[in-house]
Formats: sequence, structure tokens, C-alpha cells
Amino acid sequence: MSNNSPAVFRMVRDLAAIAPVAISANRLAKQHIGPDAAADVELALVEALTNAVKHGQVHGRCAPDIVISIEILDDRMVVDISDKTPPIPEELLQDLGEHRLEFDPEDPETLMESGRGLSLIVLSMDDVTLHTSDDEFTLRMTKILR
Amino acid sequence: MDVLDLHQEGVLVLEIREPRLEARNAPEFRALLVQRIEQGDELIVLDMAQIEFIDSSALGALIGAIKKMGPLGSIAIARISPTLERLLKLTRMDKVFPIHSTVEEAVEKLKA
Repeated sequence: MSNNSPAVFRMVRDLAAIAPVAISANRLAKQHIGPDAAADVELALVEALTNAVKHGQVHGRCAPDIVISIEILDDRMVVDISDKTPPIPEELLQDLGEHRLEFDPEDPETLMESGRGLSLIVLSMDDVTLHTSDDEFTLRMTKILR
Repeated sequence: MDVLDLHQEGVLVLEIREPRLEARNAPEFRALLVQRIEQGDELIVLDMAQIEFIDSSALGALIGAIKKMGPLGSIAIARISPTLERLLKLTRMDKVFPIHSTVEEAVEKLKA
């Protein structure tokens, strides 16, 4: 059951538009969970929106706006990102996690400059799923309220 | 990007006067670090007391800088918030960028 109506944000496809949404999400989360967990939500949201902005532009059929919905339920916080292109490629979701962040600290060549964002989403949230409808993709990220 | 440069005993201390390092400004952050490295600064302390948020793009910028620096130099981080320190540990970046509670401690360790 929902405790409140979802907070809905419509964001232009611009990296500079991410921070205001992310900061709002953090503030909302802090009303229900601790600061570290709220920071996790903010990080996951930023990483997902960054991916959506960067990669949604190359498909040529993207809508200009991305819609973010944040809902507080009895036991969880649900963050939905809806877009005309997948915010995260579905095939990548299957192989994300801590093992993708491993490297040899003694060998800088094993350090990758990119590729951490999607794993950080999975590690920051309790559940991450991609839902597909006829003309829209929704990335659902859930944080359990502990 | 608003940054204050200060040299302390041969170590460059960069005070990052930004609340957020993220995809929007990570390329500028990377270019700033690479410029200082190309100018000859091999020991750098990043004073991150004013930073409230870091994402993976900013971590990528840091990695780009340390790769540019090579094995002779070092970049340390000082005065980072506990929340951001948690992120650096999660991504194992603390193994690459030593974290110190004060700038003075970071400068001493880099000089040693």
C-alpha cells in the first residue's frame, strides 16, 4: 500500500538536469531511511539517468523527456525511470555486481575508467528490474526500508 | 571548475570547491588533473571536504589521472565525507587513492 502519492519528475535529456532530481530523491529518501541508504538511492538514480541520457541519444528515436517516479510504500522505496529506450540494456542486468568492480591494485592497467555505473546501481539497491511495454521501458529500482 | 591550488612542501593540494563530481563535470575534472600532472606535479592531495556527491564518471576521471601519472606519482584524498569514503571502499578505489582525514596527514604520507 502506498503511504503517499508518487513524486513524479519529468527530466530533459541533459546531464545538467540530473542533479536536481537526484538531490530531491535523496531528501525524500532521508525522510524514511538513513543517510547512507538515501545516498545509495541517489547514486543509483544518478547512474541510471546518466546512462539514459548518454545512450538514449544514440538510438535516434528517443523522446526528449525521461520520467522519474518515486514512491514510498510500507516497507520499500520504489524508483521508476521510464524512457523510450532502455535506461539499462537488459542483457547487462544479468551480469552486474561486485565482481565487475574487481581489479589488481598493483597493476593500473587493469583499472578501467568506465563501466562501474551499472554495477553500482545493482549494489546500491535491493532489487533492479527492467520492464518493457509496447512503446516504453521502465527501470524499477527498489530499496527496502530498514 | 572551482579549484584552489596550493603547494605544501612539494605536494600539490587541490581544494575542490564543488558540491558534486558527476558526469556533467567529470571531463573537466579529469582535464584539470591531467593538466597539473603535465605541469610536473607528481604528488597530489585532493581536498574533498566540500564534495557531497561523487558518481562513477568522477571515479573514472580519477583513474584517468592516476594512469596518466604513472608509477612515479601518487594521488591521495583528504577530508572526504564518510558516505563518499564508503563508495570509494565499495569500488576498491581506496586501494588506489589513499584516504586521509586531514590534508596535513595526506601531505606527510605522500612525502614519506
